[in-house]
Amino acid sequence: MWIPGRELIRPSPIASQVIVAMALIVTGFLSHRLRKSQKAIAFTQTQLEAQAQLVRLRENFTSTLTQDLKTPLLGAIETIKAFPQEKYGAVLPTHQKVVATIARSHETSLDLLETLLDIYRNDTEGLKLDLEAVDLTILAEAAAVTLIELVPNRRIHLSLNYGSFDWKRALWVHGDALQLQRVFNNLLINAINHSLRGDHVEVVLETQTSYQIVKILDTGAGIQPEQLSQLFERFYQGTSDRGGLSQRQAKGSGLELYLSRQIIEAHNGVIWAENTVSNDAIFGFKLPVLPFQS
Amino acid sequence: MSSTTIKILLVQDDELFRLGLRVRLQQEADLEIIAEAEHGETAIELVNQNCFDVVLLDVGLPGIGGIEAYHQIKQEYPNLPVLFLSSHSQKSLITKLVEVGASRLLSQRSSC
Repeated sequence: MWIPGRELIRPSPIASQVIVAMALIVTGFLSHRLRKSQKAIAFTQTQLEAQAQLVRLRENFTSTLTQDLKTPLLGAIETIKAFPQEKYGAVLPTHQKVVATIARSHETSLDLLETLLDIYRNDTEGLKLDLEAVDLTILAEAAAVTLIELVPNRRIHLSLNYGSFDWKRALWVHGDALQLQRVFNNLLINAINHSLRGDHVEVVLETQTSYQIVKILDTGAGIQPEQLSQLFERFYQGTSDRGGLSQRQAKGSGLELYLSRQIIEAHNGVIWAENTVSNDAIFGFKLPVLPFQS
Repeated sequence: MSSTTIKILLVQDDELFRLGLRVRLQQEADLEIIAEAEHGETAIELVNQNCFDVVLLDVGLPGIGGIEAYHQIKQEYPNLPVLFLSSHSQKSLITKLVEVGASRLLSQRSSC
């Protein structure tokens, strides 16, 4: 069969061979690059997985370790309880004092371990709230009564006020009373620990249109500006390079503020820290108002 | 106690650690714990009221803290030796304590 112009469209065999060779080279080059990229992606993925696994291992390890530390402590607490009851025979008053000190210290250690376990649990499983109508004023009063025992010893004044109102009023929220009580206790202990002798710690309870606001003010050292955004981070310990009066986290594990944040955020609230113009520290939180109560 | 005993003021807010340290130090014939304090403010008051040969001072105290307490004690009594107690072994803290002039640093982890 004759095709017109056949001779014209036929590429020269050498040129086509060159094109094919070039195409093969380009393809080879590209597939090499692709293989390299795929390898790099796979490597990064493996690294990320290894890191995630390491984090999980570390968290599991800490959790297991905390649990392991708890077990003998529980045993010790139960055993120590038997001494004042004279289960092991007569106990002298001086011994009673020693035993009571050991018991108190173990209870504090147990609380710390429980807090650590709660923090891990809240992070991995979320915080399960037992919600009901809660009056924040009652919780603030309860915390103040519990902690007042600390105050005469440190000679710190503790008071409650209601912002622009002169009288006591209820601040209703939809919340977990037990968890919110922990927030009050944590923030008040934090304020007391950072106050000097003769200082004043004040709990201010206010209501806005959609939020109930609690502020805990202390006249101790203010918060360093660079710490404001980090105070509620997990396990934040603060810096110790300035020391003395300017050091807000001088005492405490750093767990309490993070736990408070977990609790407030689980209630769809906000927790924050700020300094007043006179450089007093404020630790505050706000929770959505529960309407139609009282 | 004889007049040659070393009179100690023990400042530590952890009551069980304070108890343990007291029990251990009392086993030494030439050491005598005259007073104990939980806070820096109380320690300063006690230093003004009594005559001590040495102060054992915890760094992480509530209130004014160990370092400020040290400064206030040293201002009044520059020759009174103060030994810091700390369970932390971070280099930055130790450097800081040496900078402020601590006579010695005792690690709370040391077995008695």
